[in-house]
Amino acid sequence: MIDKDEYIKRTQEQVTAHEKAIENGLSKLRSTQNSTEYKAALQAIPSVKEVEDVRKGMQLLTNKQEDTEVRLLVLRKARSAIGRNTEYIRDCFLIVQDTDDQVELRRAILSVLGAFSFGSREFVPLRPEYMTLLRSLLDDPDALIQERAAEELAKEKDEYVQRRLLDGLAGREQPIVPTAKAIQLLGYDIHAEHYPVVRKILEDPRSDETTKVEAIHVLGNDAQSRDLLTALMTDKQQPIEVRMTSATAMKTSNPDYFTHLAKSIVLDEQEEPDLRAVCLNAMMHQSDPSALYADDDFVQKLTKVRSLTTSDALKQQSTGFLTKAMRHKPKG
Amino acid sequence: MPRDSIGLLGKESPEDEIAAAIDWARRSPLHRSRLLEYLPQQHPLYRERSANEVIRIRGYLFESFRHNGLPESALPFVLEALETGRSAYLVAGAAIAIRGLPAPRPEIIPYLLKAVSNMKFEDDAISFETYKPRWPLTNTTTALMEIFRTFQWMGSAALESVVQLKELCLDSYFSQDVRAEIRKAISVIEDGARSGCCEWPVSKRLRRTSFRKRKRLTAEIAGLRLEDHDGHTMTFGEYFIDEPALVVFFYTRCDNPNKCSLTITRLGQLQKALVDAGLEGHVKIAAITYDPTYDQPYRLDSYCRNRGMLLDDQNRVFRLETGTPDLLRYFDAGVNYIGSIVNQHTTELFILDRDGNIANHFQQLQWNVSEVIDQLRKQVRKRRPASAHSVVTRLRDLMSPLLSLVITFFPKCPLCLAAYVSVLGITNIHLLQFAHQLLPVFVALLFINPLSLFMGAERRNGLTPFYLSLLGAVCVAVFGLWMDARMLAYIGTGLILTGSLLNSLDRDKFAWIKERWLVLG
Repeated sequence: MIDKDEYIKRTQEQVTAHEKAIENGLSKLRSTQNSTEYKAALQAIPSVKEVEDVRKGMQLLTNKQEDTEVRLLVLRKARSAIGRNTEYIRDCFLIVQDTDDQVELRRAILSVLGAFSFGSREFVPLRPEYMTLLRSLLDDPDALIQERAAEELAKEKDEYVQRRLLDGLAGREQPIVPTAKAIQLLGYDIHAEHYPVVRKILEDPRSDETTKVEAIHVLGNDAQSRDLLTALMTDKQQPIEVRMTSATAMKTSNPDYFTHLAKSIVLDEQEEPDLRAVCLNAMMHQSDPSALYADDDFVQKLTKVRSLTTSDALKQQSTGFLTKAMRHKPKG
Repeated sequence: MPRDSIGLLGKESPEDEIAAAIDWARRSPLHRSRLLEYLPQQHPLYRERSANEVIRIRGYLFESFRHNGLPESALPFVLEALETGRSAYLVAGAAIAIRGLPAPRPEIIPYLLKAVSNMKFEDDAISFETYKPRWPLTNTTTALMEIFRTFQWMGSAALESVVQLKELCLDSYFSQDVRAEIRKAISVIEDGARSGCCEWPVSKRLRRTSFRKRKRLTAEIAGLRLEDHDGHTMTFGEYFIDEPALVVFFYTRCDNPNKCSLTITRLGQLQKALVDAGLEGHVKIAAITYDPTYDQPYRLDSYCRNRGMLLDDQNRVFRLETGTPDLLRYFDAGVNYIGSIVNQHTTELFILDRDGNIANHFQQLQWNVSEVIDQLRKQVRKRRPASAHSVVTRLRDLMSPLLSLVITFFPKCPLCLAAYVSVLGITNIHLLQFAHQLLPVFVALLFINPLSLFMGAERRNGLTPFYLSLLGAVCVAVFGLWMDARMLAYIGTGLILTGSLLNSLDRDKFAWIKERWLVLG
């Protein structure tokens, strides 16, 4: 076991060495004019905080001729200081907007701006400028920047991005993001007019599984899609992922009807065991499952299912259900 | 855009056609009244459109009132957007629309200030230059900028907001551009206030309640089955009988904290106030969801309890398994849908009598607890003999207009005070011992009132008030001083006061009076 004084001494030495390294890094950052040394200096320091250092960092960040790695390091180390200064945030807007600038840096800055948008007090007055920037990025040559801008705007339920996404889905213009992503982003706002378009996509046999799953997630909020979701949930030809997502969506939108369908799926020995387990689990997570536990006929049949099934998942869910049913049984 | 299609817009109308109709009405102010029918949220025009599409249409519609004038009947819709709107486009459109009023009105200030607080963290770049613009745009504005420009337009009528504006000016949450607009507003208001008080309009109370014709409960509505938060079912007619009731509409998926969430929270506060007012047990309270498919009993129960609403036999929250459209039609509820989802709705509260008939309702603007309690008390008192208490209440009701009249005539600046003193001095000069020595001063002061009306004629109600006041001053001077015909001098005093009163009325009211009663000017 290490001696206490020795331990304190070693720790102090480590702290001093670290502080010295930071000091050296900062002094190098202040004095050097060379990209390699900037890199080494920035790597040595945990963050850039002092006003003069941040200013120097911003000169590096806004310099298009500077090495990308140096600029990314500045962004990482001076991030907090940038978020506290509206002018520096505006400089970041300009970099992201500049399609001639390094795409890797533009993407990184866009992520940082996304974090500032809900965590920085200084960002609040800049919101209109930020929204303008994001809208202009929907036509950016970089697909990832386009998608990230669309995502940020969709979270704000922005009218313009919804319009562009819908036009893309309906084939009225070149889509700005892939179909599955567009459906997911439109789903952030239940008040958007996307349900008819999404229903059409879900019904289209050419739609891939990922797109269908996204569409089902979104349509879970739409009462008019009940029949379609029912058909998918009970159609044994559909991929299991599609059927399980439909079951979960049904449970949200129409819990009573879901219970009715789920009971027959759980008891059907020809059904996929995973789907049966998912349905049983969802039934137990209803707001008031006491009526379900009181259904003696179902409980009896489920006891039989538990003893016959070879699926671990279904066995486990059945045991859970039957235990709860026992607890809910009236005493005496 | 064919002229006649402006009145025919509906569910099937493409957005471009709607925008063209609004543009056309903007260029033809005489047809602005045809846009008014599109203001209620339940209009078929808004059916099967997304919430954002509805906002686009309404924001654009509101903005057009700046160009062709904002009529009185449109004001509650515009104020509602300022009070509860969370979309920068809609709020900016409403703020701009206010500038279409014939004259600034101080009672709008609380709505503008509420819009400032609503937009503080939600401001956005917007443009009304074209409908559905394609970004990037260069010439944009923001909701906050437009709100503060409306304060500038209000001028001295916004004097009571100067303290708050000065506080907002120091708030670092606002951008430099917004703060520049606030500073400009403060300066315009203070400059306007220094130029005198004579252009202040009479403050008119905003109509918050509608006493439209009582609507009788039909057998069809009475038979609708309601399911409450506990899953108990009953018919509309069974619940809304024997006692007056209060009904609000809401839905749990509403994402505007100023609407449904606030309505239920305030309903909880109202329940407590009803206990204090001694009306507990005499009134039934019901909150009914617009969204019955999603709002299952357990969702209704937790939503309302979490917002402080008490739920028991007298206080329930309902959904309808079927028949929601019929019920909404009966209440003429301000709501519209896209599929099964609400795309827009107003804030409304209905009061039903003991037979389930609609007695009156509060719509558009947030109701306030004391007003609602007053209405409920009236319903509870019905069928009871009039008591001494009701006489006192009636006298109290009379006090309000009397007080307004006193305030109207009360001299609000030194010049007016001097003019009033002069009028009274001249007409009663015979009563004063040494007053004849002050006669030239009285005569000079007498003409201050017509002079101030003449100077303010362009900004206010034209030359008619000036002519009346001048005629009055001449009567007082000639009949009161020269001919000693005191009766005619008193008539002159009356003419001066009438001139002042007409000058202080808002333009709409003045135009109405002028059209019917006045031949002068």
